[in-house]
Amino acid sequence: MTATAPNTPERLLEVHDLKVHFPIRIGFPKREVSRIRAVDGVSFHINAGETLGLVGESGCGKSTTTRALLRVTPPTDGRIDYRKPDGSHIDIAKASEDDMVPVYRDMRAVFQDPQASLNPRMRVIDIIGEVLLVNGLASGPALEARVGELLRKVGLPPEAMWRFPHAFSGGERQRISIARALAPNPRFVIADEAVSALDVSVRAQIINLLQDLQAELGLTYLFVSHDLSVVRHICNRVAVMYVGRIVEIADVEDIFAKPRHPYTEALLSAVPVADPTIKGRSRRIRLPGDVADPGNVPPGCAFHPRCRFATDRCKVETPALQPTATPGHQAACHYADSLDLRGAFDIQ
Amino acid sequence: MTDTAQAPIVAPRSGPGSAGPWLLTWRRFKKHRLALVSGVVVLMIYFVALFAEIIAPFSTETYSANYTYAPPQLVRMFGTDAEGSTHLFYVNDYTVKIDPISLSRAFETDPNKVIPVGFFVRGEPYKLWNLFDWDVHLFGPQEKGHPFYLFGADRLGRDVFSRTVHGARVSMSIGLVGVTISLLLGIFLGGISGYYGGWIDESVQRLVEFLKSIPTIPLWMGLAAAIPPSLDPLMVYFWITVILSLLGWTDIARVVRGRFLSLRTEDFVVAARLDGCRQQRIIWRHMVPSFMSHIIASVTLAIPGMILAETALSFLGIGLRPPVVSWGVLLKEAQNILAVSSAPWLFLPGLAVVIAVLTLNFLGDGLRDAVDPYAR
Repeated sequence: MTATAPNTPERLLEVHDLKVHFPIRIGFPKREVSRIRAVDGVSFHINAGETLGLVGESGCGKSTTTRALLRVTPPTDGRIDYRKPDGSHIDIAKASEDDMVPVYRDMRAVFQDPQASLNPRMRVIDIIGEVLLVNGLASGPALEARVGELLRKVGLPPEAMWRFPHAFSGGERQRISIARALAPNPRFVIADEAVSALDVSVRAQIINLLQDLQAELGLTYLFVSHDLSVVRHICNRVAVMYVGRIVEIADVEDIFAKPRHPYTEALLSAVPVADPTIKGRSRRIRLPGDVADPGNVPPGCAFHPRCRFATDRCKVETPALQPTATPGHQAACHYADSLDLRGAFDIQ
Repeated sequence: MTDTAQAPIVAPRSGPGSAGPWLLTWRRFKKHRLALVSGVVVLMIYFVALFAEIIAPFSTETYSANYTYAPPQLVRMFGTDAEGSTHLFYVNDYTVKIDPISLSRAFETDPNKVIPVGFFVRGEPYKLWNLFDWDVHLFGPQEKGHPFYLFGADRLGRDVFSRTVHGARVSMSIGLVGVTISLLLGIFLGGISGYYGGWIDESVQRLVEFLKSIPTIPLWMGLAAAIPPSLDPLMVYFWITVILSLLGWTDIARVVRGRFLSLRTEDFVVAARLDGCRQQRIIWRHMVPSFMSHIIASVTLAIPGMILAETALSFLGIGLRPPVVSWGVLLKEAQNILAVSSAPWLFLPGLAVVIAVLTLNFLGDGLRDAVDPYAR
């Protein structure tokens, strides 16, 4: 398997043409009447040690993508090639539940809602220690010491381990979530909207914590968010999703300075600007209509009904994600290189 | 517990935030006064049912032809008897007048005749739980054979109070046993329905709908009629319980199924899966504890239904039959017009039913409100 693996050494994860479809079955006997194409042919890779941002509006398939990576939702099709710590590769899309157990030690997740992701009936030590106990990594006093150390690492006092989640604020709970993710010494952490439920000041603290931990432990992040300013702060590269597909992927400064896809441009124009002197001159691009229904995706480019540059070609031909003039910058637009799109407002 | 020199982390186990879910539930429950009082009453009723032989002054079969339809006596304090000695508690004896025309007896209490009442008196011998021979009763007339009818007497001169106390055992336990069987069936069928989904879910849900669509009273009647009358009373009791619980599991199954469905996709259950927990551990350590409290509450609310069902069946004469004594059997005695007009105390077992059902309902309500300490 290692011999045929297309990964270059620094690639931790490589996703090829990932599809997650949810069939809609109605009637008796049940038959499939249509399918929701939540994720429809997504390909990207994550290099070891970097932070990849995954952005897009609600319902575009960000969360479904992460759930497929974690095998919480089984993918319909595609390949998820993960490089395990010992150097061998595993295709998560086809792995069995038993095969996933060692992967789950290396690939961890932090969820959006810290209220829902911690079992309210367990003490913090049991929540964080569960993964250590179940995998036989620590037990008894060693487990207690490890949990204390983890709590300290995420900025909580070790005695917090005896409390229940209800005794903590949202930010503190997210710290507990992070400590749980870090417990088995993972290399890869998927943060699915990990800071979206927190208020702004706490959000900044948690982001700084995530960055500090990345520097200290050499972590790789997949950072899912709909908040572009956060993504810009923490990510090395950004992938933009629209209706189950990646429409653009590039280095963070590239994409903010010169987007190559009209949807990215519109997204960037919607970022609130804190500077009142610029605010009045806002040039926000308002997209007409609604996000396409993933159960009924328009033909051609899914974005064409809302795109101000759309031509007849866009209505027929689906653009593939392909390299643009800028190295490392890929976009799924027929006119990626010819359009002159504006970047984030404050960079121009 | 850890070596302080070695381990740098020494954390006190108590302190703010270390109160567990059960403690939080208790704290909330305590604030619900009515439920708290009801809980005490329910416990008392079960205590009475457990020690019925001791608490009842007489057995269920003790009769006296002299005291048919005797009215209830009032317990009074500080009475002096014929010999001049004073008693702390006493009841008055009756004087009986026989109406020369209708030949019916009219009882009147005679304030001069004092029957001393004592605690832990020796009375009729009995076998506690069919195991221990004893003859001490919690209270009763100090001398054997004296009339002592707190709730009056029935048509054979049997003590209604003693019969009500004994009836508590059957009526209260039928609720408990019936609900236990329902619970096991409900958790099993609801659990597989919610956890596996698919065609299993479909078939269990259709079965639940089918059972719920059948009118209960005719169905009970049909099933109860199938029990041969020659059967041992204990077996009749068993079959009545089975009939009640075969129909009673549906609600619990729905609750369990709903909890499984909603918990299956909860983030903390997904997180447990990502922690490498196996299915059994996820079910028993993460899912079951989070709905156990709901189950306890719905079970408490299901017991009154069972008690009422048993009472209804026995009242209609198709449930338990004498010599078994249950509240329903006792109420059957109060079915005729004579009871309504001249012996209204025969309805007192009905009061016991009302108290038991009400307190169980209040307790269940309080539990239901208290069990989810994390509801925002």
